Amino acid sequence: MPAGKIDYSKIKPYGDTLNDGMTQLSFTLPIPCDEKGIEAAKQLAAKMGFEEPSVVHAKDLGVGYTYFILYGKCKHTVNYEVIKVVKVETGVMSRKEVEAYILENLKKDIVILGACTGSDAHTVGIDAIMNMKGYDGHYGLERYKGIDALNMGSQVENEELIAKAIELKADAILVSQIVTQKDVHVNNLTNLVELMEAEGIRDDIILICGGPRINHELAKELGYDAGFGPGTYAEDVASFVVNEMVARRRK
Amino acid sequence: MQIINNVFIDERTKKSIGLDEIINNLPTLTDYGNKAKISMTPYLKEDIKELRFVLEDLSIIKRFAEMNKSKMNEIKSALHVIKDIHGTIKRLQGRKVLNEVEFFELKCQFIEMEKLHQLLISTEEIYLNRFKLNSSKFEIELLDPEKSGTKTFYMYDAFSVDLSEIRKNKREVEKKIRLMKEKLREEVFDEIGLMPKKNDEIRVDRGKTSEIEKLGKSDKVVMSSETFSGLVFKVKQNNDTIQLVNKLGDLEIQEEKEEFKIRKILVEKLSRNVEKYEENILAVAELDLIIAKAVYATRISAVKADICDDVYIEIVKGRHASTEDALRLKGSEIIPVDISIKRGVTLITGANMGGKTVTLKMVSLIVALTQYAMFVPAQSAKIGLMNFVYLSVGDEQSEKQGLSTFGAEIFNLKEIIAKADEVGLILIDEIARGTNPLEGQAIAKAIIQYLQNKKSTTIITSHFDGLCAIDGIKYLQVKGLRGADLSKMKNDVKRKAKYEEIFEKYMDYRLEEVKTKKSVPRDALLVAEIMGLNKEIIDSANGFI
Amino acid sequence: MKLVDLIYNKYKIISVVGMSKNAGKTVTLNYLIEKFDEIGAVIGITSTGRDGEKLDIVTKTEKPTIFVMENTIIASAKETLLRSNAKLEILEITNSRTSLGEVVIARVKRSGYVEIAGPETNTQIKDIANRMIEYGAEIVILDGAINRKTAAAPTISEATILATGAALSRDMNNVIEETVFQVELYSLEVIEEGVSKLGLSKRFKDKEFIIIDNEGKSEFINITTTLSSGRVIGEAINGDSKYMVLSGSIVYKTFEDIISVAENYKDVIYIVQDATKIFVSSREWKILKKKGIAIRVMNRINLLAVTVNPYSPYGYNFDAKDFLHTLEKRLPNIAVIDVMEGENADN
Repeated sequence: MPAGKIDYSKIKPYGDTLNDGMTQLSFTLPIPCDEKGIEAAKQLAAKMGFEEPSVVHAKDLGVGYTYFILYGKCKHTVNYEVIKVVKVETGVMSRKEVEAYILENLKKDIVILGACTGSDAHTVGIDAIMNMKGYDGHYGLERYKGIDALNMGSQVENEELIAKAIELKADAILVSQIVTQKDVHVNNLTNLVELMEAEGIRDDIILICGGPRINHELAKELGYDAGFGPGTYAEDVASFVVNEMVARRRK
Repeated sequence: MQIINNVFIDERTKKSIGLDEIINNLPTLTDYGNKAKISMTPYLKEDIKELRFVLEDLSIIKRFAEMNKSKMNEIKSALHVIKDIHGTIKRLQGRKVLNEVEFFELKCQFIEMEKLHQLLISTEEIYLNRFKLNSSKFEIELLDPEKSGTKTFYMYDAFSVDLSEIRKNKREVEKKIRLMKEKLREEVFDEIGLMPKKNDEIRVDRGKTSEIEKLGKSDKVVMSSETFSGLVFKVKQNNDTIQLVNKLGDLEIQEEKEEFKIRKILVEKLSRNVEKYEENILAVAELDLIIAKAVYATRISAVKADICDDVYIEIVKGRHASTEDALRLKGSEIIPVDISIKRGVTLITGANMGGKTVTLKMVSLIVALTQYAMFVPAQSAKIGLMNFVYLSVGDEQSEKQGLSTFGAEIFNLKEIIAKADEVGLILIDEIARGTNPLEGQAIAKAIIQYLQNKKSTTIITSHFDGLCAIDGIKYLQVKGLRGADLSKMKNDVKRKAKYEEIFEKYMDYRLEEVKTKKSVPRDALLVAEIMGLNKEIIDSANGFI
Repeated sequence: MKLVDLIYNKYKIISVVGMSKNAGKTVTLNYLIEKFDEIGAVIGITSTGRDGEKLDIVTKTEKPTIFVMENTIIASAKETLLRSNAKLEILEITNSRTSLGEVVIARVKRSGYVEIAGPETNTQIKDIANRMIEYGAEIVILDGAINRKTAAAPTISEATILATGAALSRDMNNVIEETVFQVELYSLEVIEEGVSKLGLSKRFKDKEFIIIDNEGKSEFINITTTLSSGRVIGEAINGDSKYMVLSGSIVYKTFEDIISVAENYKDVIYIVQDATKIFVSSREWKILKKKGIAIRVMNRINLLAVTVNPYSPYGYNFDAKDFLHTLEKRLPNIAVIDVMEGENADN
C-alpha cells in the first residue's frame, strides 16, 4: 500500500517509497569493461534523466563490448490524468450474446475471413481468434452460430485473400501481422487496402488487423477499421463486427 | 402494463402471425423512435380507457397525414435529422465537462427540437398533449452567444469577457512576434545576402564555403543542425522576441483554462434542465412512432377497431397482412374474410388449402395490432380486449427438439390449459393432428369441452368428424370449392400445374356458420382428383368410404 | 509556373500521394498550405489514414505536424480534432466511422497545428471533399496515407502530386528508378476514342470483364475479379481478340498466368480503369514490357508535379541538388520540386 496519497498528475517509478523514481536500467555499450566504461555508462544514464546513477553490475562480453546494469532515480514524470487511450467504444458481448444479436439484428449468417498475409507465418494469433478451440476458454469465431468463419492460414497473398473474399461475399476480413523492424508489414497491409479499393469492395467489407503490436491508432494510420492487440479475444472481434454491421446499415 | 409471469403474446406467436415483421418495419425516422418501437408494450384489459384515447390520437394523425401531406412532410423532415445523443445527455447529467464536439451535438439537437416545437405549435391538429415539446430557446441562446443562428459550434469569444480579452491579447502578441521576426530576417538578409525562410531557417550546401563563412561569422544566426550534404542555420531570437514568445505561451495556458471554465459553466447551466431534454426526447420518440403507425395504416388501408367492453370479436372483411403482401407479389389479391366470435369455443372446418390457418392468423394479428395501438387491415372490427393471444400452429419451427409433432402439440396444449382461466384468445390449428384419428379426436373433444366454460375465447380448426356435434360450440365452415366450376379447374390444372395458384383462384375462403348440418365437408378426394392423383386410387378410396 | 498556379481555379479536388512513408507528403502539404495562404485561397484538407501526428506511430520517428491557417476547412476523426492546437468551429459530424471516432468537418478559427485522420475509404473521402467545398473550400487537398495511392484515382481527385524521397531507400538510384516507374505508370496512354465509345464507363462501373474482337464484337468473361483468374482470362483470348476490358485491380501474377495460357497475349490491348488499379513493381513492369504487354487506361491520372525530399528520418540523406537534377533529367515533362528548398532554389 502506498504510504502517501498518489498524485496522478506526476507519476514516476516506485522503488520502495512513493515518488522515489527508482529505476533499474540495463544496456550494452561497444566499449571495454573498465573504469572509463563505467563512467560512460553513468553519464549516458544521466542524460536519459536518471539522477544519482550508479553501476551495480558490469560484465565484459568479450569482443570489446560490455553489459551494464544501473540504478538511478528517474527525474521525469508523466501526467496520468490527461492520458487518453483510444479504445473500442462498443461493449464486448459474450459468444451467446453475439449469436443472439446476429439472429435478431442481422437475420443472416455473416462471413468472416481470416489470414496471416504476405510472408508472415505466425498463425498463433489468427488461430486463437478463429479456430474452434480459440484461446484460453474463449472460443474462436468458427464456433459462433451465425458466423461462417474461414481461416486461410499463413503466408496468404493479398490477391488470394481478396479473391476469396469476393467469392464468399465476406462481411469482414481479419489480417494478422507481426510488426517487424523493417516496414515490410506496413507495405503489405496498405497494399491490401489499395487492392480492395481498386476492386471496389473496400466500402462493403469491415477490415480489421491484429497482432502483438497492433492497436487502434495504428489501424487508423493504415486505413483499417479497427486494430486488435494482445489481450483481445474472439468476442472482442465478433462484437465489433456485428455492431459495426448494424451501425453501417442504419445509415 | 404486463401481467407478472405472463406475456401478452410470446415470441413464437409474434413471429408466426407476422407481428414481429410489422413492428420492425414501422417506418420510424429517428433512433429515439426506433427505441420506442422496439420497447412497445401492449394495452391490456385494464388499460382500455387509455387505449381508446391513443387510437383516437392515431386517427387524428392519420387523417392529418392524408389531408395535409406537405405539412406532414415538413414534420417528418424535422424529425429525420434528430440524432440519438442520450450518451451525451447522460454525461451532462453527471456534470462531466463536455468537449466541443459534444456541445456541437447538443446545440444541433436543441435547434432541431426548437424547430419541431415551432412546427407543432403551428399545426393545431396534432398539437396533442403527449407530443408537446418544451422550448429549447434558452439552451440555444446559451450555446450561441454570438447569435449566429447556425448549427455550428465554436468556443465563441462572446462566451466570456475574459476569453475575448485573452484572445485579443494573443492576437496582438502574435502580431508583434511576427513583425519582430520579419525584421530580424530582413536584418540577416541585409547583412549576409541570404533570406531566411518563414521558419527562420537557412540551409546551405557544404560546397558553398563563402556563405558558410559569412553565416558562421554573423552573430544574428546560429548553426542548428548539420546533415551529410549541408548545414542548417537558424535566425537567433533576441530577448524581446523570446519574452513575447513566453508571454504567448502563458496566454495560451490562460486561454485553455478559461475555455475549460466556460465549458464547466455551460455544463452547470445545461445540466439543470436535463429532465426537460429527456421529456423532449420521449415526446419525439412517441411522435415518431405514432406517425410511423399512421403511415403504415394508410399503406395497408387499415382502420381503427372499436374497443368493446365485453369479450367479443367481430371482423368484417379482415385480411392477413403478410399473406396479402405475398399474394400481391404474385399478382393476386387476398380474399377478405368476415368472422364473428364470442366467448367459448368456435370450430372452423373446411377443405384443405381453404385458408383456415390464414384466418386464424388474421384474427390473432388483428387483435394483437389493436392492443399494440395500431390500426387493422379490415373494413371494420369490433374487439374486446384480451389479456393474452396464443396461437398453436404447425408451421413454426419447433424449438422443442426431440419432441415429435404430437409431443410439441401436447406441450402447447399444456400451456393453453394453464392460461385458459384468464380472459384471453386461444387459437389452435388442426388440433391433435399429430397422432391416430381415434385418440386424436378424443383428445380434441375433451379439450373443447374443457375450454368451453373457461374465461378464454378459443378458435379451433380441425378435420375431425365428431367435433362439430359437440353442444355449445359455434361451428363455422370454409365455403371452399363448393361453388367452383370443377371441369374448368381440371382444365387449368392440365394447362399449367401450378396447383397453389389454381386453388387460390377457385377457392372461396369465406366462412359461413353451420347450424344444422353436423358433419365436415368431404373435399379431400376432390382436391386429390383435381391435382391429378391416379384415378384408380381415387376410385378405390371412394369405395372405402 | 508555380505549383499553386497549376492548381488554383483549375481543380477543386487534388491529392497528394507518397511513394513511401516519410517521402515528404506532409512537407509538401505544409508547403501547399503556405503557398495557398499567400494567394489568399481557402483550402480544405483531409486524408485517408492519418497525418500530422507528432510521433509517427508506425516508424516511431519525428514527423512535422500540419499547420493550418484561419478559414481552412478540415475533416478529421473526432479524437484527433479534440487534440488539436488550432481553434476549430465544428460544422458537421459525418456518417464516416473510423477507429478514432466519426469524421468531423470543422473550420479553423485560429491557426495552429492539427493532426488529420480522415475517412477510411475513397468513396467516403469523395463525399466529404464535396461537403467541404460546400462549406467554402476552394480547393480540397486529399492527403494519401503512408504509401497509399488510390486517392489519386481520377474518380476521386482531379489532379495529383506525387511525393518521393530518400525515405524510400538508401540507394538514390533505386529511389529514382521507382519514382520514374511510378510516373510512367501514371502516364499510361488513354485508350483510343473509338473503343471508349463502346460504353467502357458503364463496363467498369458494373465491374465487368469483356473481350472484344477485331470486328468489335464483345463477350463477357465469367469472373468476379481478375485476382486468381489469370488462367480463365487467358483462355478467353483467341486469334481475333483485340481488346480486353478488366475491371477492378490487376496484379502481376494475373499477367503471368495470362501469358502462360494464351498464345496471342501480345496481340491484345489490356484496358484498365486507371493507373491506380495496376499493382506491379518496377521490376515486374520491365518484364511485362519486354514480353510485349500493352496496357491502356480509360482515365489518365493528371500528375501535376513530383516533389522530392532528399532527407530521410532514418539518419541518411541524399545530395539535394544531385537528387533533384537527376530526377529532372529523367522526367523532362513534369515539374520536379524540392519541397525543402521551395521553388526559389536553383531549379
